[in-house]
Amino acid sequence: MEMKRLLPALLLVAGVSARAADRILILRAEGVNFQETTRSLEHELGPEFQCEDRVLGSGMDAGVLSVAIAKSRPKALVLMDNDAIKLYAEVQKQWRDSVPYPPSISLMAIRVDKAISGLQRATGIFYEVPGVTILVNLRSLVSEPVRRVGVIVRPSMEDFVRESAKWCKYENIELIPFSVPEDRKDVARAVRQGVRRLRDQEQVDALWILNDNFFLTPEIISGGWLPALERFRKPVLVGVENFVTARSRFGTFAILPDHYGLGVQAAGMILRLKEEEWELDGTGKVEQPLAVLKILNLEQARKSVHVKEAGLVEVDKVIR
Amino acid sequence: MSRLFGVILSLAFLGSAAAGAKVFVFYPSLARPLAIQDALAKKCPGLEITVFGRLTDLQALVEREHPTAIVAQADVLKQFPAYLPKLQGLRKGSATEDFVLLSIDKPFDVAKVSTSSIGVVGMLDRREMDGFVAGLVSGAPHINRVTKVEDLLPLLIFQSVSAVLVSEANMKEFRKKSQANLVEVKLEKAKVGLVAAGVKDGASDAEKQVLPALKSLDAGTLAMLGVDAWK
Repeated sequence: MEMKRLLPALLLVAGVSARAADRILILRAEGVNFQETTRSLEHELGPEFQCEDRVLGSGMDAGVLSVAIAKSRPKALVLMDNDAIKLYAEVQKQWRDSVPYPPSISLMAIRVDKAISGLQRATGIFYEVPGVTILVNLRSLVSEPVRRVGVIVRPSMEDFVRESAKWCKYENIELIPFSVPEDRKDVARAVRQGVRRLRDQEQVDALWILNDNFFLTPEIISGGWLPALERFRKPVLVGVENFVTARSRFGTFAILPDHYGLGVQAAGMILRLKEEEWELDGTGKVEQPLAVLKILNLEQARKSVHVKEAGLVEVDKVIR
Repeated sequence: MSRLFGVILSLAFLGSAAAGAKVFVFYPSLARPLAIQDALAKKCPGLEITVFGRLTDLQALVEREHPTAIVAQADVLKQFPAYLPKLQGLRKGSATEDFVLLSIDKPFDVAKVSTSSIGVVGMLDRREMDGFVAGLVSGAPHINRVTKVEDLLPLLIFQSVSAVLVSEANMKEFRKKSQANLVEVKLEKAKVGLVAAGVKDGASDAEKQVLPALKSLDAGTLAMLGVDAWK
C-alpha cells in the first residue's frame, strides 16, 4: 500500500486508540506501600486506561499539579496520602468554579472521610481497618466466644467506632467503648483505668486497640498499655505489625490493610465511575477497605485463648 | 507491608529451591498460598512447587519461567493454551462445582441481575471475568472484583454489593465464619470446573514426574485444592 494512503489510516487508528484510553492521574507519597497500590491499580485497570503516576515532593505544589491536570486532562484523580488530598484541595480552591474538577478517589490517608470533606466530587476508601473485619477473623481463629469487645477511644474517633459498631451488629458482636477526653492530662493513667474497667466491669472477650497516635506514643505505651495489659488475659487486637512481634508483649493479632487489595478496590471504583460517565456530585460515600493481612503472635495468643490449628492456614504470618 | 509480601515471596521461592519439575499452582481459597505450598511441597519433595495468590503474579512468572505444569481451575487453565490438561480434579465424582449467589437477609433477585453489583474473586482477567460471570448468572451485572475469597464477606457486610458469587464449598466456609444471616440462591447454569493439571506441550519426561506426584497426594492435601481425587 502506498505510504500516502497508509498514513491517514494509521493516524486514524492512533487517534481512536488515544481517545479510547481514559487518563487517570495518580498523586501519591513516596514509598513501597504506595508503589504496590499503584502497581495493582494500573494492572487492574488494564490498557484501556492510561495512568500517570506523580510523586509528592520534588517541587510538586498546587501550581504544578494544576498544570499537570490541565495538560493531561484526566478523567479522575487517585490521591494517596493526606498530603495529596490537601494539594488537590488547594488546586480546587484556586480554580474555584472556573473549570469542572475531575472527580477524585482518595486512599491510604488517615480518616479519609474527614480529609476529603472539603473536596468537590470526591470519594475514597478508609485506611483504618473496621472492627468487624478484625473481629470476625479473630473469632474464626479461637475457640472462645467473641461477643463483647472493648475499645478505648477519644471523642474525635467515636464516629468511627460507632460506624464499626453498626457493622459488628450483623455479626452479633458488641463494641464497648471507653472514652478518654482529648484534653485529659494523664492519658497513660486513663488507658490503665480503661483497660481495668473493660476487663473487670464490662468483662469483654477481647480488646481492640485503635491505630490512633493519640494513644500510641512511647510514653503512653510504656506507662499505660503495657502495665495494663499484663493482667488482661484476653486477645489484644492491633493494627501495627510491630505490636505483635515476639518481643513486643503488646498485641495478639494484627490486622493491616492489604495495599495490593486497596489498588484493586480503587480500580473497581474507577470502573464504576466510568460506567456512570464520570458523574460524581458532592462528596460520595467512603468505602471500607476489603482486603487485609493477618499476623498472629501464636505464643501470646495461647496465653489467653485456644487457637484453632486449622484456622492458621488463613493467617498470612504466624509468629511462633 | 511490602516487606511482608517480600518475605512471603522469598519464602515461597526458598520452599521451591529443590531441583525438579516446576509446578505453578493458582487456586483462590480461604487458605493462604504459602500454607498450600508448604503442604504440597511436603507431599511432593521431587517437584518445585510455587503457589500464587494473584493471577497477575502467575501470569508474569509463567511467561518468564515456563513451568512444566500449571494446576488451576479449568477456566484459568484455558488462559494458558500451551498447557494441555492431563489430570482433572474431582469432588464426589464430579469435575465441576456449583456456584451460588449469596446475600444478606433476603435472597438475591436474579431478575435484577443486570442492574445489580455482584462481588467475585478475580480469578481471570477483567474482560474474561466479565464473560465468565455473565455465563453463570445469565446477565451482565456490575462486577466488584476482589483478590481473595475472604474479601467477599466484607463486601456483603458493608453492603457494597447486592450479592457475591461463590462456590458452594466457600459458601459453607462463610457460614462457619459469619453469624450474619447469609441467604443463598442457586443458579441453573453455574457449574464451574474444578482444578485441573495442565502440562506444557512437549514436556513428556517431566509429565512422568509431575502427574504421579499429584496423584499420590493424600485427602487432606487434595482438599486444599478443592478436590478429593483425579481422573
